[in-house]
Formats: sequence, structure tokens, C-alpha cells
Amino acid sequence: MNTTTTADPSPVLPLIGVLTSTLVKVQNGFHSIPGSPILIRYIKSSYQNDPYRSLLELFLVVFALRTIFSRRTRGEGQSRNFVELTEKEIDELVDDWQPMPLVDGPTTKFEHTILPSLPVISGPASHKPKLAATGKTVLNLASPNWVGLLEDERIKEVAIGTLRGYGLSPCGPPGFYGTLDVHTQLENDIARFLGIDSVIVYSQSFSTITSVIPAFAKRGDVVVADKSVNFAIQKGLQISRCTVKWYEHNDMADLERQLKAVEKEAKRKGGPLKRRFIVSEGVFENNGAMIDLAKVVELKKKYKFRLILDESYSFGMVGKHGKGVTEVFGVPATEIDLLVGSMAVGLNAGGGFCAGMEHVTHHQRINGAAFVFSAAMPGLLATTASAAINIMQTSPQIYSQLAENIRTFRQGLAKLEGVTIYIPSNHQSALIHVYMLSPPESIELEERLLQDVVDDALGQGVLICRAARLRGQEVFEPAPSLKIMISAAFTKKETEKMANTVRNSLTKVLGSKSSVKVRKLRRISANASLLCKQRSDDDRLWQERMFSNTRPDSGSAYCSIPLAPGPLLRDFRLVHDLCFCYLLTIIILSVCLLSSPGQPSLSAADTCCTHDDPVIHFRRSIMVFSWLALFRLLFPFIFSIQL
Amino acid sequence: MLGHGPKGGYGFPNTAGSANGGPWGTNKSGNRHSEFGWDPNQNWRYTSQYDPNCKEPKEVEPTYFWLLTTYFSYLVLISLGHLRDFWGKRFNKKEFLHLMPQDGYAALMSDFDSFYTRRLKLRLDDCFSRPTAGVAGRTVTLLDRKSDDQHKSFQLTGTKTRALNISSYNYLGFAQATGGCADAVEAGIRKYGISAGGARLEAGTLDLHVQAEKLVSQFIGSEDAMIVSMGFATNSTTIPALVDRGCLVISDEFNHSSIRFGVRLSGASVRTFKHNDMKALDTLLRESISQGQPRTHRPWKKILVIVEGLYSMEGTMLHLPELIVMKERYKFYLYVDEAHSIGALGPNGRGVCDYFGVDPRCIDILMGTFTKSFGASGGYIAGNKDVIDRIRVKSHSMAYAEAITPPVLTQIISSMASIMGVSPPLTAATSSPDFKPTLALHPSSSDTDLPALQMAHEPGPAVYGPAPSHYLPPWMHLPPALLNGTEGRERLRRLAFNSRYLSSGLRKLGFVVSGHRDSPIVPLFLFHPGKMPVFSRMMLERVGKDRTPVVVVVVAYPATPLISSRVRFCLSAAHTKHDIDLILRACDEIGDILDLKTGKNRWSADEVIRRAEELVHEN
Ligand SMILES: Cc1ncc(COP(=O)(O)O)c(C=O)c1O
Repeated sequence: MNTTTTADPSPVLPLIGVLTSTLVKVQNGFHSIPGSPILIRYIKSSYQNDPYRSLLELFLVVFALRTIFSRRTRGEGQSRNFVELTEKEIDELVDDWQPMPLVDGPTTKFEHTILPSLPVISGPASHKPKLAATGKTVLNLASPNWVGLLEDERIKEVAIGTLRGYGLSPCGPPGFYGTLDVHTQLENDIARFLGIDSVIVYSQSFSTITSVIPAFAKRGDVVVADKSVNFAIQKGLQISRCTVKWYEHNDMADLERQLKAVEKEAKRKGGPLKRRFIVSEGVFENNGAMIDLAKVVELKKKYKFRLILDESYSFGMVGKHGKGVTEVFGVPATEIDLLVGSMAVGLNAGGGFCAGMEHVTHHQRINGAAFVFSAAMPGLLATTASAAINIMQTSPQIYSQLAENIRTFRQGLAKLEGVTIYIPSNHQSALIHVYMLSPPESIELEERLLQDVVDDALGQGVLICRAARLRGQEVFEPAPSLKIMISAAFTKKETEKMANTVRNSLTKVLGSKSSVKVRKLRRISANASLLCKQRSDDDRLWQERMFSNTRPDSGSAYCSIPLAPGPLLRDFRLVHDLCFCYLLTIIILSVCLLSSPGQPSLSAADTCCTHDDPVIHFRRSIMVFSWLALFRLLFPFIFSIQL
Repeated sequence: MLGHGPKGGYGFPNTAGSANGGPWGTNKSGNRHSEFGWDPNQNWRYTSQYDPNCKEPKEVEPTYFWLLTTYFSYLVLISLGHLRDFWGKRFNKKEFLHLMPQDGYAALMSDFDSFYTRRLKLRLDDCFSRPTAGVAGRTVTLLDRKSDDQHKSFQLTGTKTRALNISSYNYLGFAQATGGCADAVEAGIRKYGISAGGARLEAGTLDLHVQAEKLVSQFIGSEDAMIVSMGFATNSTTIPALVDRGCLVISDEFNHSSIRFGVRLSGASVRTFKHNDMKALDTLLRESISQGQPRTHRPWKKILVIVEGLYSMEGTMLHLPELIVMKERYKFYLYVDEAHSIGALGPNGRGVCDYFGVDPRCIDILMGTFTKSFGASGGYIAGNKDVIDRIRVKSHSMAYAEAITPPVLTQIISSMASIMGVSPPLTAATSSPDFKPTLALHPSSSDTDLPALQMAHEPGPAVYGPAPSHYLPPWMHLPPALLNGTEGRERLRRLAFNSRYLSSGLRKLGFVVSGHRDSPIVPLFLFHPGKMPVFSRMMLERVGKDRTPVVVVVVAYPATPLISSRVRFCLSAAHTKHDIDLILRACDEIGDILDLKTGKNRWSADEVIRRAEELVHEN
């Protein structure tokens, strides 16, 4: 190629002399590599035959080199910002550096009281548990126990049966011999119960949705979510790194506005179609309100969004047979693309599930992080969940009892005088949140007042709880509230008594400061979303960053590791790219070969080429191909040895 | 109608697969021994303990021939996959509908992301997610299945195969449907039912939780501990309570997915270092501390180094002594995930600290799971009281996730107590000043006032005492062998022997095996993706004299680097030496057929089996 450099006399003779000698050296070196003459001959001749092919090959080489070297620089600490320091300076800096303590202390006085004020139950959890501190039996409004199966003897027998057949734990993830027949049975049972294609069960309810969302929504995808969604959903959205748009809690007009905006934005930007999801809850864990499912389904269809519906609280709670909000609204469960529910809450067993089409659940069996990388749940939790479904199906009177209890309780609470509270919860919901209408200045004070209510009620024999909230970690800080969970296990009389007790405690604690402002009441009930106290601007900025698809420091080398094993994914990508490269080469070479009938005449004129035979031509092509291949393949190894 | 419980007797009838007399089939009390093998020979015991003089075998590097051919295999697979996609999308649209945008909806799964699953994993799907029934103990019952459509769907044939199980994380053999622990769980279910009723920070705290947490902290040797209902969530919901923006997490490259999940949720910056490479860690620490945060160069708020005790895919152990020294120097916080090492390592089964003789209180956060050695589920976080108390109110799981269920807690308490042994209650003593939890335990019942034996508290670094008897619930009655800790010790020593034997034996046979010799996880490298299904199928349907089926786990990308596909053996105290012999022979046969052996000075299988004790004790 560049071999013959006859030195022309010129003023820079010595330079050229040096150049020539190096060139000759390089040339000799190159010639000493076995196979190189063939390569040179090939390139020479092919260049004359077909300059485009040589160009393509050159391009491939450059491409290969680029991939290799781009790999080299990625992930190293040497960003533009790097400051060179001597070892001594580093030592000094190391000596000087003082980390903050591993955990911050409690920031408020109230936080000190959280743990000591927790009720500890002695003996079984039931609708009438015994308190460890006092030994008193109380009425339990603090455990999700809709159907009242907490202490059901039938369930216990099933559990013991399974224990004796299966032991406790399958001791392995579902992929590796952890899939028991009882898990499959439970999946089928739930699927049949809901009338849906297929179901996958996870071993913890909280981790289910946190894992389901990132299995589908990826960076660049758009999620439109309700502002009041529970913490697990927020975490799922955060980890998926998709673009999140929030709509006002249960505000269908705002939802439609957001959907329209997303659509418009997509039209403006063009490009490939993005996955788009609406995320909401059946009955909201944060306030007990119910989604307007019919409307959401209508909107989702209209704007072509998929719906991820978290029924962790509504499954087993609402509907004639406890099938959840789909049953309430008469919407077939198949209309929901991803329906997430909980066996721990609704069925008094453990774990969570996701229901959908077969390919939806199948995808999660490989991509649901909490499914793949965690042990399968104990067999007895699966069979007891199946048993609970069976009981729910065969005894619908449970749900009339539950509805009755809810009504009784709410009527009892409505007699409250002198104190204004606000209950955003749906009248069908067994989960009832009680908010203060005229809250004191600080959240801490409000929490403390509510805790006083809880303590007072406990003193009178009714266990309720303050909704546990992680202050400072929620996206939209929910206002403090009392969380009350009604069970079908209570009789009407007990329910009335409990309502009276809670009412008394509320009056007693909050009544003293009952400067009731009715105006405020109206305003708030008109716009429930005000319940979400907005954080300061600074915080809002933070959460925007948290949810925007570009991380603030993504430019630096300190980007966070991907969920799927990082270096591994890169390996896979690399090999994958490589194969593409080969495929391309093969295709192009074969095209060249196939079009070669015209070539003999061409090369017949070319005296220096003796290889007009297509077979030889083919062999030569293979030669180059394998050269490229070897070169490209060996590089990573040489490389990993260096590392 | 309600129960899917036992189908007669203790579980499942013994099945066709072992009818020709597997090692357990001939046993009189077949079912019991199918869970936990009987192996009285005291020579086949070993103590798992760090020995600085003991040289770890050099890792065998794969030959270039293997590497190249492995890459070539992937090349063929990927090319074929694309070819099939290309044709399929044109001529078999129905199969690809869910991968293509349709009707205004974008495809739910991306074509590229699912390529690996569709085109590579599907080919060996018969080796994954095999359905089982019954106890995953020494043996496991497979529900046979077949597929008529290239693994797209499977149908159960209705027959069952009982196979030797060298795959479950059943290190100490506590996956049992019979025996003291199972009896305790039954009693627990009768007393407590199934559910704990709600989140821990609401009303889901039972006395059982408090007891279990005390016992766990005693077991680990830390001040306090908390329990979460899922091992994965233990990491993914606790790490965000420890670090946030402005903090740096330094993480081993092979850390478990749950750790990555947690770190990503926390918002902290992350750097990874080469697996177990303390030099790389040192360099990285120096760089991070001296450079500070990116762009601003502000010092990091804190640095948390997260490592695992025993790596589940590699069988390698962390270099704890070196880490402790570095911790002094660089003032980082150390988080050790002991999911696989707790219960499985150390002379007392207390994990890597016990193994290396390091005071557990030197480590800031010790995390572990109960799914493995204890045959239960869930995980724990242990550390100083103020740290744990703070995590209790900040961790997502405590506030929002369901509390761990009572049957699981019972299993944890009983299995843990039987490893520790229970100190006998002293008859006459005054009160128990040490035992005044903030959350009082049923003071109404007289049991708590029972004179409690005071442990010599402040245990030194390696003093792991028995469990004080008042830490156990009063209704729990364990058989004497569990109470006095003899059975627990026996299990530990059996596991240690089995681990060392298999690991050394496979090496002697010439296989490429990685990991520590004391590790109960033994990965055997196959490299070629094509060998994975063949290995797995040949283990299940053995040819040759001994037809005992064996189930193995084959793992490949994405759980491992692309080229190092492997078989992973998980040993158990439930295995007898003859089981290990059987596995060695089986590997020997298959290794010859699949060309898996390398190296000189190979021994024959007979020789390995004959000189087992020598192999195990060899340094
Ligand atoms: C290192 C590590 N951490 C955490 C876990 C998760 O534990 P679990 O299976 O109990 O959810 C595992 C399980 O495989 C693990 O290997």
C-alpha cells in the first residue's frame, strides 16, 4: 500500500531518511507476521477489483478499534475534573477526612418516642389480641384483617399439612428448584379467582410492585402517576428511571390533561413510540380513597396507555367476593394490564402477586428482580393463601358483614362533635384514614396529637395506629393520619363500641383545641389533594431531580451501577455488537461473491491477479474475515490480562 | 379442598426415579433420610476455620482455546437468533406481536432486552425452574414435565422423580418436614396462626419478633438486630436508610442484585471495584477520599463499603482481616452481606467473623438471610443498638412492608437455638437485670420472670455462647439433641467436611473450580453455553452403572460474566459422604464426555474417593 517511497531530493532529506527507515522497519515487521503477504496481496488486488469493499473493511477495523478503546476509558476515575495529587497529599487528605456518623440521631423529640410507644402483641395477632405491656385484651383496628382469617383454625390446619409435606422453606429461588407445585397452584387459584390469564407470586408484598414497575418501564418511558400513590410504587418509579408525570389525586380531569400533554409531547418530539403507563392504586394505602376505575380505563384506552393498578389493599377487601376494585366497577380484570395485589394484606398469608397476560408474567420470571434474586416463599404461605381464596369464594356473607361493619363504624364516628376530622376514605373501604382538619403548625405536633389519640384509645381497649410514614422520604409528604382497619370478624356491637371509643378519644385529645374552622373544612373536602402538604421549593427541586430521567451527576464517572450486573451487561453488548459486525461482513461478502460472475472479465485484464477463480476469491474473503475476527476477539483477552 | 398438604405419610411417596435403589431408596425410614442423610462416621467431619497457613489453591485459568470457542458459540447463537428474528418477524408475525408496536401501543418488552431470553435462555429452559414438590432437603422430588414446542410451554407428565439435591441453599439441612424444628413450627402455628398482622411500625410486632431479634443479635454477637420479612428487601430497603446523596458506596463488582437495588434507591454515588481485589479497593478509596465528590470536590459525607461474606456465584470469601485494617485507615463504614455465610461458615456457624476470628462488633452492619442455613425466610440487620434503632424507624420495610410471619420466626428461633445450644435455666437466681427490653415481653406470664441464666456478657471476639434459655419462647419444646447443641455442631462439622471434600475432589479430578475450599458453594466452570443443558440433563438422566439422578444448577449470564457459564453445587449438612462420592463420580463421567478437565496430576475418581480424608485435611 504505502511501501514504495523513493526519496526525492528535497531540503528535508534527513527527515525523509528517518521516515523511510521506520517505514521499512514497520514493513519488515509486518512481513514477518505469518499470513501477512496474503493479506497484502489480497488488499492490493481487492482494492483494484473493488475499492468499496476495502473501504468497508477499513471501516470495520476502525469500528472495532473504537469499541475497544471506548471500553478502555469508560468507568475509569479519570474524568475531566480529576485533580492530580501526590501520594503524600493523598495521605494527608485521608488523615484529615472525617466521615459523618453512620446514622443521624433522632432529629426530633417525637422520634425518640416512636419505638417505645409501639404496641407489642403477646400471642397471636387476631381481632382481639393481648398486649404484652399490660396483658389486656384489646379490640384490634390496626391489622389488615378484612376477612377475619387471622386466627382461623381451618387455615392453621392447612398450614400444618403443608409443613409436614414441604417443610418450611424451599431454600432456593424459583429458578433453581424453589418452584413448588403449591406456588403454581396458588398462581392458578388467583388467576381463576380474578378471571385473568396468569399470575406470578413474589415473596414479599412490598417488593412486588417495586420490582414490577422497573421490569417494564425503562428510561425514556413515560409514567403518569397519581400523587397519592404508596411508597412502594414511588420506589418502583424511582428505580425504573422513567419520566414521571404526576396528576392530582383521583382528579380525572387532571389525569386527562396529563395524558394529553404526554401525547402532544410525543407527537412534537417524534421518534419511536415510548411505553406509556398510568400507575394508580385500587384503594389508596395513604388515605383509603378509591380509584374511579371505569373512567381511568376509558382514558387509558383513549390515549393508549397501559394501566398498572396496585390492589394491595383493595384485593380481598372490596367487591362482592373481595376481588377488588375491578369487581366493584364491573370492569373485567383483563382490562388491567398489570394488576398487583397482596396475599399478606388481603389473604392474611404472605407475599404479593402480579396478574396479567401470559407474556407479562413470563417476562417477570426473568426480569422481576425481587422474583429472580430472592428465595421462593414458604410453601405454607402459598397454601394458606389458596385456602383463604377458597373461603372468600364460598362464603360471600363475609363481605356483607364487612360492609355492615364499615357502615356501623363510620356512622358511629360521624356522631363526633366539637372536633373536625376529615375522612377521605371511600365508604366501601375497610381502610379508614382520619385526618385532622385544623392541624397545628408542625407535622411533628400533629403526629404527637394523633399518637395521644392512639394511646388514649388503647387505654380504653381499642388498638388503632398512627399511619407509619417515613418523613422526608416520600415524594409528596402525606399529612399525618390515624389508620383504622375494619374486620369482618367483629360483631355489630363490638364495632359500635370501637367507634364510640375512637370518637371519645378524638374528642378528648383534640377537642380541647377545637377552634373549628368550617370554611377550611369545605375547602379541603372540595380538594382532597391539599392533603398532600407540598414540601418547600428546595425539596421539590430535589424530587424533580430524583424522578427526572437524567441524573444530576450522570456526566461524571460516578454514575450509579445498572440494575442488571454492570460489567456483564457490557460484555453482552460487546459480543452482541461484534456479532452484528460479523453478520454484516458475511452478508456483504456473500453479496460480493454472488455478484462475482461479472468479475472474471474484469480481472482478466488485470495481469497481476491470478485469482479470478471465484473459489479462490471466496477463500481469500474468508481469510480476511478471520483476520478481522481474530484481531477483534483476541483484543479483549489481551486486555483483561492487562487489567 | 382446602389443603394441598401431604399426600399420605410424611410427604410424597417415593417415586419411579429411585425405584432401582438410590442411596436413600433402600433405607427403612426412607422419607426421613431423604431429607437428611444418616452418616455416623466421625472421620467425615471437619471444622470450618480460617487457617493462615493453609494455602488456597490457585485459580485455574481457562485456556485460550476454551475462551475462543466459547465466544464462537455465542457468535453462532446470536447470529442464528437474529436470523430467526428476521424471518420470524416477517413470516410468523403472531409470535412476535408482543415485541412490536401495535395499535398505538409501544411493545411492552424491548426486542433487544428480551433477545437473550428468547434466543439463548429458551434453549435451555428445561434446566431452569423445574417444578418440585415436597422438601428440598438431601433429595428433592421433581415433577416431570415435557415440552412439545421448544420450551415455550411445559406440560407435567404426572410422574415424579426423586433426585439427589445438590442445588438448594440448605446448608445446614434445616429444610425438613420432620424433626425438632418442624415440631416447633407446628406448635408455633397452633399458637400464633400464620400472619403477624401489619407492618412492624404499626401493629405487626409480636412478642415473637422481639424474642427472635434478641436471639439473632446474640447469635451474631452484635448489640442489636432487626428482622425483615424478605432477604432481598433487607438489602434493598435498609441501604437507603444508611446512605443518601453526598455519600459514596463502594461495592464489589459481584455484589448481589438486592444490594444494587438498595444502592440505587438510596441516591448515593457508587463505585465498584474488581471482585475481592483489596489493592483495587485501596486505590479506589484513596482516589475517592482525596478527590471528594465529583465536580465540587466537597468531601464525601461518608463512605460505605459493601461486600458479601461468601459470594454466591463464585464461592469466594471476602478478605475480612485486610478489610478491618483498611477500615481503620480510611474510616469507611463496612456493610457485610452474610446471606450465604451465616450459619455455613465458622466453627460455631456464626459466619465470616467467626471463621476469621474477628470481633463482629468491628463491622458496622452485618446483614444476612434466613432462607439459606436456617431453612426459613427473611433477613436480618445487626449492629450497634443506636444504629439499628435508627434503621428501625427509617427503613422502608419496617414502616410499609408486612412483618415476618410467626411460623417463619419459629423456624428461625428453633434452628438458631439448636446451632447455639441452649444453656440450662438455673433454678434459683434473682431477677435478670440484663433482660429489660424497651418492649416488655409478656410480663403478665410468669415465664419471663423465670430466673434467667446470665450469660457472661461482653463476649470476647470469638466467644459465642449458648442461647440463654429465657430467649426461647416458653412454649417451645426442643428435643435434647437440639437443646444441648450437639446436633447443631454435628451439622456444622458435616457441612464443613462435605464442602472441602467436594471442592478438593473436583480439583483433583481436573475440573476448573473456583472459590474457597471451605465454601459450601462450589462452582464448576463449563464455559461453553452449549455444555450447560447437556450437563444438567446428563446429571438428571445418568448413563452408566449408577443411575441415581442428581439435580444441579447451571448458571450463566446475566448472573455470571458472559463467558464463565458454570454449574453451581451447594453442599448441605444433609449430604452423606456417599452422596459426595456419587457426585464426584457423576462429574467424572460427564467431564470426560464434555471435555471439562484440564491440568496435570489428575486423580481417578476412585482414588479421590479412597483418599477423601487426606484431601480434606491437606493444607
Ligand atoms: C448475597 C445475597 N443477599 C441477599 C439475598 C436475598 O435473600 P432472599 O433469598 O432471602 O430474599 C441473596 C439470595 O440469593 C443473596 O445471595
